[in-house]
Amino acid sequence: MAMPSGAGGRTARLAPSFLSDAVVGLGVLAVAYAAIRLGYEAASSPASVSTDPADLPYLAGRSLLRMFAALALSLVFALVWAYAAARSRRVGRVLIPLLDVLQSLPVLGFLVVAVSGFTTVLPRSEWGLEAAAVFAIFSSQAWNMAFAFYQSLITLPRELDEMARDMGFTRWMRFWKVELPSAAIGLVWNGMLSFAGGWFFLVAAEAATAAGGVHALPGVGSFAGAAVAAGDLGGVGWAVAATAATVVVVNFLFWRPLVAWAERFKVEQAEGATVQRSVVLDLLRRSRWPRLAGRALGLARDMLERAGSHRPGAGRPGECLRRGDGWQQNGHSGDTLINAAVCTSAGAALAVLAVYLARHPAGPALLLEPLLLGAVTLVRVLVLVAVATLVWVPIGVAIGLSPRLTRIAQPIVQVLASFPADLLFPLATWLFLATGAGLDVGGAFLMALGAQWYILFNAIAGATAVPADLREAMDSLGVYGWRRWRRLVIPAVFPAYVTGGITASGGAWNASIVAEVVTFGGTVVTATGLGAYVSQAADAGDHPRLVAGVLVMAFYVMALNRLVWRRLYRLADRRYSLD
Amino acid sequence: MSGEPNVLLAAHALTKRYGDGPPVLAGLDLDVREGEIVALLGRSGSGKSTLLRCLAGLLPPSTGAVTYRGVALTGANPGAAMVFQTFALLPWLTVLQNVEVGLEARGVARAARRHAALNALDLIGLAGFQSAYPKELSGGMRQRVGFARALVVEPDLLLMDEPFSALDVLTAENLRGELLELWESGEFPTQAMVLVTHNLEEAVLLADRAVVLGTGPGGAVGTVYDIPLPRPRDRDAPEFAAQIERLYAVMTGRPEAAPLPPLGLRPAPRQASDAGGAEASGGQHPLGAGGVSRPGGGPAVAGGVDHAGHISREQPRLRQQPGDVGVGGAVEDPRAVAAREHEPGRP
Repeated sequence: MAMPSGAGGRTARLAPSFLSDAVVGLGVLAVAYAAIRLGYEAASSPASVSTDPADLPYLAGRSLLRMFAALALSLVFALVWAYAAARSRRVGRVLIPLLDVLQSLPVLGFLVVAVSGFTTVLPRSEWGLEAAAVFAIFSSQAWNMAFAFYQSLITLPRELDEMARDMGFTRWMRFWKVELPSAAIGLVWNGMLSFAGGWFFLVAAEAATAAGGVHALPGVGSFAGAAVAAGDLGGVGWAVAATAATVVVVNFLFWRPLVAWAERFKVEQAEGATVQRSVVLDLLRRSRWPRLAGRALGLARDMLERAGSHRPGAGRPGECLRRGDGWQQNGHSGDTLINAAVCTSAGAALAVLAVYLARHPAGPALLLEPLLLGAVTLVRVLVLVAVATLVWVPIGVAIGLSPRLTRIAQPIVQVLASFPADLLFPLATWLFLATGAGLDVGGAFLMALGAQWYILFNAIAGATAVPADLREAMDSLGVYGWRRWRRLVIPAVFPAYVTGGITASGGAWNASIVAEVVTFGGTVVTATGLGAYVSQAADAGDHPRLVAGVLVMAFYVMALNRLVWRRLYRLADRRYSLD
Repeated sequence: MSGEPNVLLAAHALTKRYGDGPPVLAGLDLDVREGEIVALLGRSGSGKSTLLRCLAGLLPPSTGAVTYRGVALTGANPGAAMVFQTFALLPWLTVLQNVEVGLEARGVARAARRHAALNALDLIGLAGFQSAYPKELSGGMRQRVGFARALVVEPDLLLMDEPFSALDVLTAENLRGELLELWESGEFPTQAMVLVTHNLEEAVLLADRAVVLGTGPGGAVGTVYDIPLPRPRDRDAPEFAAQIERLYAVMTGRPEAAPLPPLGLRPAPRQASDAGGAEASGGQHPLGAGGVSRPGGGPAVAGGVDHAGHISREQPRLRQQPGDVGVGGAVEDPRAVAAREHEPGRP
């Protein structure tokens, strides 16, 4: 077996150089300056919409600040939530289903409500708008990341768990040295994909504030929103270009180095199929700054360690995360209590909602219309997922099976997936208007613009993970063509595909809210569907209909997950899991 | 016996079941005294690892208790350190950091723990490798890190879960020899060792007593056998072979009265097992393949067939493991030496 070139080996090979010291130092200063300057501007200048393309770098910076604020919030949320859910079975029993519900709620549906809510709560209205935008991005990222961390916590390799307990790790040591590193790769990849998804919501949120009129958040989304309202196709083009450039730069300066750095947290000892590289990371490693920073941090760490260190003696129950075989035996009476409390509060919430909806003149019929419209959107979602599967799975597999293609294609796909599809909606609308095509069919296409990438991305990942020995076995047995697909490729890629499919279908539902009603320069094109219903209710400020629409959409998402995706997931886990 | 002052670790009427499943351990009693090595033997699924984890305080017993120096455990055993079959090293920490974690957990200051960890690495033959990462090391060296990590906290008890079975034969042999040397040198911080193994020869080489876990009506029960051989032990002595045969007979349910082929056959199975694939095709003398060979004598005992069948089915997976070749190190077959001299990563 070839010796993997571990992180240590690579560091050793890169000799420190003055040039890299200088470049990294200047780079850090530049980023810090830009962040401070943007923050200052954000605090001092009133929110307004610019239509001058020369302002776009500044606007992109403001948007980026929102993105990173939301990412930081999402990370903190994910760590706290998942840790709490995994630590205690009882807490987990409440938090995990709640996460499921939150995940299914179409954020864009109550964006308008969130905006008015935040502006009421916060004294200065632009802060309210900022908070609403950050919240919209947050809600598109946090659930995914929390779930990824939770999954990694409960599937911690058994021997690492035992080692940590045997060695008497403190809680902090366990978290810092075992749990967080084991989850690092999952968190980074998930964070990157969530960040990519977040752009969509950023643009939608900023555009929503622009449409609101009075105040608007400076950003690429509001720039595009203003251009769309004015029917200025060139302005939209500028926004598209600026966003694309920002996405590429962020990938290059932030995500690629992070992904390459996270390689060191691989648990399996063998060399992976693709080694992630990053020029920026190499540059960082070549400079002396990280070591200096590390030494400074070392002092702080020492103090932390001393503060958190105590030997869990024989009198203390072993800390046990794995369910079932811990020293802490959970009593069933407590469970009953928790279950009762959860059922009561869930019931109460439903009752309040029911009363709220029942007060509407339409009565229970209020739910009927969204239910019917939901069926139309459901058809769109299903067609979209099916077509995206047929198109992208073969392409993804072809990419994933070739390490060379993967290396080339993966960053490109990342950028494509990051690009907020809703920025393209006005262009597509213009196209539809010009060609006379209807949005009833075109809507599915718009939804697919954002959602399809999850399927492609996961198909690539799944194909990359097909063990070489299985492929060699198929080669040596002469199994090629369709038979090989049926016997090896489809089963091997299936689990990853299901993951992508869940995300894609959830994303499509959410996107339907902005994809089924599109405007361009005063022309409004509407498709029949639940997304359009929610969007119109939001615009009209018709809260009962909005709530009904959002609820019904959440119901559809959850039903689809439970009836289709969950089952496929279990099947994948039982039959087609490769480990 | 549990009343004696030198009992370090004791299990009293220990039972363990997972969930509502059948009991894995059914009323097991065991004393581990200062100065002894105890081997836990049994076929796959007999509860060896479960027992070891109960002794380590990693699993709570369903009923009964495990006591360390007379105090019942309610969490991880404070006097024990464990060595894992798959090493359980943290891949993101260097060798030194991995060895330090136990001391760090005990609140030892940075300078002191660095000093102790370097000493432990020195003792275990890893001096100079402190800044390497585990994935840069060979399997044997990784397990050395595992030993250093356990020994640096100077545990009363060293608990080992098949510590040599993931290593290739020669590496395992070296490491086992060094461990025994350390143990016999008297400079060892540890008072007693408990070892789970599949390998009868390893058990007889190392242990003062062997606990054979066998399936009773309500889960596994242990039978304790003394191995009263003088140290250092001579693998070529007939008593050594006799001990192995006795344990083998116990484990396969073969009555001791039915004698095995005479010892004169011994070199032959070794060569056969070195040549590869031979075990699967035919019966071998149990000595040749340690504890994992199928009995050559065919269906002598009804109960034994089942056991043997189970064991022989595992044979291919265990081929690279210590049971395959006699522990004696008398691997004369050059093909075998060539095939196994592939411990990589000695930079």
